[in-house]
Amino acid sequence: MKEDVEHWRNYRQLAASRHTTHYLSRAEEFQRPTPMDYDALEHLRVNVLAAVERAYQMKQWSHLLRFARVLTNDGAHGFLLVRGYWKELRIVLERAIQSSKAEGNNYDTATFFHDLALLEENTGKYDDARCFYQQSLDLKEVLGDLPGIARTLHQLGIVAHYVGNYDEAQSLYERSLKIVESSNDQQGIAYTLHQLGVLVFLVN
Amino acid sequence: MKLVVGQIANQPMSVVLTALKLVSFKGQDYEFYRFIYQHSWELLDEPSRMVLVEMSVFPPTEGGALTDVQEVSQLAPSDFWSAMNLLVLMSLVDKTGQVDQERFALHPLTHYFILSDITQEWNES
Repeated sequence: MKEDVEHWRNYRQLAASRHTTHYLSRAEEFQRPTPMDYDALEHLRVNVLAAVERAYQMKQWSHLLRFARVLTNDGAHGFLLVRGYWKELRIVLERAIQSSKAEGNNYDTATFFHDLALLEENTGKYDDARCFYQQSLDLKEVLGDLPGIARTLHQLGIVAHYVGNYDEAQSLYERSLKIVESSNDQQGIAYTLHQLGVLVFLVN
Repeated sequence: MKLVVGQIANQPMSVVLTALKLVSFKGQDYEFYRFIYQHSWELLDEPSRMVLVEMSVFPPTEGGALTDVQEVSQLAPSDFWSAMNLLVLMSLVDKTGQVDQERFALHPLTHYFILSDITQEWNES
């Protein structure tokens, strides 16, 4: 009887591992931020989230990071954020941060802190958002990731802007603008000038 | 009830009813279900047991789509489908959805039975 239990427990662990791998590859088929891919992920959502949880329990960090990249996309257009699964997104991001730290991947850690901050910002938790953006910024500065620094400064500017700290917002936007101008990032320049324009309009 | 009816597919009704009568004195708690599940488990062949255990890695009630459950299984397609048909016949797996959009799932009690009794990953409480 004990051998039977052992046999079926091992068999189930193999099945669980196949389930995780299978749903990881299924989820990776639908990474584009399009309604069709979001709909496809919607059908897989419960199994994908179960697989994420299992990958976390089994400390399969690289699997977990791949799941997180699919589900968060570039932060603003990730399936979980767009479709309003914010509770699930927070769990995935917290797990992803833990995974990237375990893997020693500072680039991913910085990205997931930024994404977590974006979630807090979108749900009106500005203090938490600021804290996570700052953690992302600190890592990006160590890495010398200039485009990443510009993005996070921009978002910190938006948070300062939302809470009425207009001077701080202006300073952050200007720091971001300096970086995007130096790399001739036209889209970044346009976004930041837009925010500065809105700020001037508000102040005046 | 569905589980008991499912057992009739594999055994004479009198045998199933006699066994049920013996356990029914124990009351309608998990022991009662455990008895029925254990009996169903003993009626299964090896491939059906494999598929039932494989099904327990899918979230209960949600289960998985036809192609997903087959791909997660280690069994060859012909063995897989004959095993799955038996499990559905015995009401151990629920089959839902229209043709070509079928889903297969475990009832939460069946899921519980596998994890608490077959693999003993969950403490009985």
